[in-house]
Amino acid sequence: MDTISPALPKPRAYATQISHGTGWSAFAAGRREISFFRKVFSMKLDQREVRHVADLARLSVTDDEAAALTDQLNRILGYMDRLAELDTRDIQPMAHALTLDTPFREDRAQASLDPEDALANAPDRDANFFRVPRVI
Amino acid sequence: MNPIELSAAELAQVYAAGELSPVEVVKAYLDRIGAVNPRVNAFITVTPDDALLGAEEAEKRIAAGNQTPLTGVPLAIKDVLCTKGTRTTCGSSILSDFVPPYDAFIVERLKAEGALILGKTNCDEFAMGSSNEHSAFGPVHNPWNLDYIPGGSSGGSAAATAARLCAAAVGTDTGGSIRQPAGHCGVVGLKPTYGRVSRYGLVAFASSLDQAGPITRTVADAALMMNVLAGHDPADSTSAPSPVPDYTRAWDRDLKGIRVGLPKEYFIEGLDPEVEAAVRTAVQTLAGLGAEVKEVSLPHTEYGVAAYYIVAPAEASSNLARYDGVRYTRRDPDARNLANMFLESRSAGFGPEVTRRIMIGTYVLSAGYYDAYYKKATQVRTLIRRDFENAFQDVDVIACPIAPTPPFKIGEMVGDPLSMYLSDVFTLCINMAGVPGLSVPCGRTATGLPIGLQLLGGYFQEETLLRVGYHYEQAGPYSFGRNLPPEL
Repeated sequence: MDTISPALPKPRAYATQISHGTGWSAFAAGRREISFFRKVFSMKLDQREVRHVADLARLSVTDDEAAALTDQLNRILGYMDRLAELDTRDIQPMAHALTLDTPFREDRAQASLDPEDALANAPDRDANFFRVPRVI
Repeated sequence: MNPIELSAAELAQVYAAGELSPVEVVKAYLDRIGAVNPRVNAFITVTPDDALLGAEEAEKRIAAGNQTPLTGVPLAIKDVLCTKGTRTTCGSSILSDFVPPYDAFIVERLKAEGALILGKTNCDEFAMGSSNEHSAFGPVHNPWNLDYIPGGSSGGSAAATAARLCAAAVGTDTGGSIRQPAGHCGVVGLKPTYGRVSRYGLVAFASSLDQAGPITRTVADAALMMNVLAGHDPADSTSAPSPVPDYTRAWDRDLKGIRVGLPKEYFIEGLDPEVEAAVRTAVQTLAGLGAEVKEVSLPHTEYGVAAYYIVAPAEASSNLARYDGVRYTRRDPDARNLANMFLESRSAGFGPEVTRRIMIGTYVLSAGYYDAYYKKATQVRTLIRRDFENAFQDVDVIACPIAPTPPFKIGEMVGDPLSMYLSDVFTLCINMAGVPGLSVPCGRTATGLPIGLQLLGGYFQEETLLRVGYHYEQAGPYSFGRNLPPEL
C-alpha cells in the first residue's frame, strides 16, 4: 500500500493486497489475518479526538493531516489490542531494563555550563535570559 | 596499500610500523566521501578541518609513543550524539541549526583516545524509523544497491562503514537501529546491554531502551570500539558500574561446547526464504565449530511489536516535549504568543513519522488510556524479559535473523507505517529486555543484497557474543564487511 486512503478498504481487498505483497507484510498478514482485521475495524478514535491529542502534544495539524493520522492511529492502536490476549493480572510492570538503585552523589558544587554557551543556540535572548513572545 | 581498505585494527598496526600516517588516511577518506557520499547520502555534516587537525595531533601522539588502538582511526558518528562545536541535527529540521556546547560522554572518550571524527551520519529523524527514509536530510542509499534502503535508523553509520567512507562508526539502537542497518549493509553492529554505554549527550528518543554501540567492518573492530565506549559515567544515572573487560580477549576461547539456541518463534511462516537459508547455514557453521545447537522458545515474541510501539512512543512523546522553540530549536518567526510559538515551531520542525509517534505516545499516556496501553505494555515487557531469562538458562547465545526480509526498495513501505513497525519484530524485544545483540554478515540474496545473522546474549554477555561472532566471521564465507560494494 503506498497511501492510506481516507476510507478503510474492504477486508477482502486489503487481504488480497497484502498476501500478494512481498516480504514482511505477507508474513504479518498470514499469521494474523483474522484477528488483525477484526481489530482494524474497531475504531479507536475519531478526528475530533485526534485533534485533542495533537493539542495535548502541542502540535498543530491540518485537516488533511488529521484525517490521515486518524486512519493510521486507528490501524496502529487496533493492532495493540492483541495485548489483551495476555493475562497480566499478577505481572509487575517493567519501566526499565536494569534494577539499579537510585545512585546518590555528594551534594557538592561543580563547574556548570557557561551562560554564553547555554544561550548560544537561543532563537531569541535578552541579556542572560531566553526571550519568548508575550505570554499574557 | 589503499588506506580505506584497512580495518581499524589494521590501521593501528600500520601507524605503529610507520607505513602510513593518520593525515594520509584522513585525506583518502575525505576524497572518497567527496566522490561517493553524494550518491549514498550517508553524511549530514562532514568535518574535514577538525579531522585533519585531529590527524596532525594523532601523528604527534604516535611519534611520541602514546598511541592507543584508536589513535588516528577515522570514525563517523550518528547525528544523534552531541559533538561540541559541530551541529547535531538528529536528522530533523527542528535541530538543523543546533550546535551542542558539549560532547557526548562517548564522543569525549573517543576524542581522548585520539580517534578522528570525519563527520555526522544521517539517520531517521530522532532515530525513529527502520529504513532511513524519515530523515529531513533525505534518504540514505544502500551501498550494495543504491535503489534499496540501508536499514535504519543508523542507516548513515552502516552505509558509511560499508561504503568505506569511514573506518568504523557509532550508531544507536532503540529497537534494532544498530543491528538491522548493519545487517542490511553487510557490516558488524553491536547493541550493548542497556547501561553498558553512557547515554550522556545521546539525544533521547526512548530513555529506557536507547543504547549506543559500534558499527564496524569486523568483529575485532567492534571489540576495539567497545573497549572505549563501555564504562561507567557518573553523568548517566543508568550507566552500569560493573567493570569493563578487555573485549579483544573475548575470542581467546574457541566455540567447543558453547550452547546456541534457535528461537522457534523467529523461524516461522513468512520469514523470507533467502534470509532463513542464510541464517540456518550460519548456524550449521557454528555447529561445525563445536557449538551445541538446540531449540529454545521466546513465547512472547509475537507481542513485542505491540508492546514496543506503546512504550517507545510514550517515552518519545515525553522526551520530545523539550523541543519548544525556546532554548535551542527552530522557532516559528511569526508566532503571536507563547502557545502559538510552541504549536507552530513544533509542527514545522517535526516530520510525519515523529509526529505520528508523538501522537501515539501522547494518546497511550493520556487520562483514561494509561492502564489499557502503557501499563499493560510495561507488564508485557516483564514477560518478554522473562522469556530471555528462561532461554539463557539453557543456552549461552541465541542465533536468529535480524529482519524478516532483506532490504526493500526505497519508497516501497513509506505509506504503511504499521507494516514498517512489524518489520522490527526480531530486534525490538532485545531492547525491551535490555540484553545485548550482535549482528554479523552471513549471506547475500540472489540479487547481491547482504543478509545478517543476529546473536543475542544475557545481560553483560557482550564477550560471549563477540567470541561467537569472531569465530563465525573467521570460518564463514560471508565477511562482506571486507569487500567493497561493486557500484561504488
